[in-house]
Amino acid sequence: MQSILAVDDSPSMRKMVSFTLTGAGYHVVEAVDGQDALEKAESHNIDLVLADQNMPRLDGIGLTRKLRENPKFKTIPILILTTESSDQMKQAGRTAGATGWLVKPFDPNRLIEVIQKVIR
Amino acid sequence: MVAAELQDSLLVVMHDLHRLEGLLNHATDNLLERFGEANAVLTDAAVADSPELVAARAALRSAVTELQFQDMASQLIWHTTKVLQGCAFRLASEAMGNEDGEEAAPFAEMAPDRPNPVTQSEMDAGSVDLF
Repeated sequence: MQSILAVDDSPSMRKMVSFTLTGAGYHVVEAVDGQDALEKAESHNIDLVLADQNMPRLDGIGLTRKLRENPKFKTIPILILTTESSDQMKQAGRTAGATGWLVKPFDPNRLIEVIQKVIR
Repeated sequence: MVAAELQDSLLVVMHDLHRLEGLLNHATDNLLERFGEANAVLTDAAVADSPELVAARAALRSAVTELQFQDMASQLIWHTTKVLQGCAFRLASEAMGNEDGEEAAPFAEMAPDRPNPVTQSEMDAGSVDLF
């Protein structure tokens, strides 16, 4: 079973993401912010990261940069799921190494389609 | 005098926004609990598949999009509260003035340093960009 690291400081969002992904047959590891995600990524076998942008301690773009610095996570798909929809923020995510940018609220069927497309 | 009254009004509004956030959080916690219960019943292996059950599962899954309202509303409330807080501190600073040698009130630190991240005004699903 493939594992997805779901990163969001909002418990309700983590619950919605977890409900959607477990229903589609994925194992979900939850993290409450970018810093927590870095630790969980090291201690679990993760196939994809789905991260919020605005979080305390370390945001989604910062998390993406940190993960890309580690050879272990150089090619892992990283999707940013956020309320932020400006082109400037999307470009910043792209430059940091994100695989995609999804604007909230997400449609569960579309989210699964996107994940199936980018996960290895 | 007017500045003091305005400042009081801003504080009341901030307090009300805080209560609104509490109501939203409480409602969301309860909604998600009910949502989990309904999902557990509908996905129970002992429950036979029928067209009605399949439709009910699909409807429940679709509700995931709308159930994200609390996250977006909380971010909106946080940002609005920070704007009001900045206004209240600025009013206080302007009304009282700064004594010689006294440091200015740090209202710049109270106001948000960037535009509101939530620009959506409806709960339709957002865009997807793959790089």
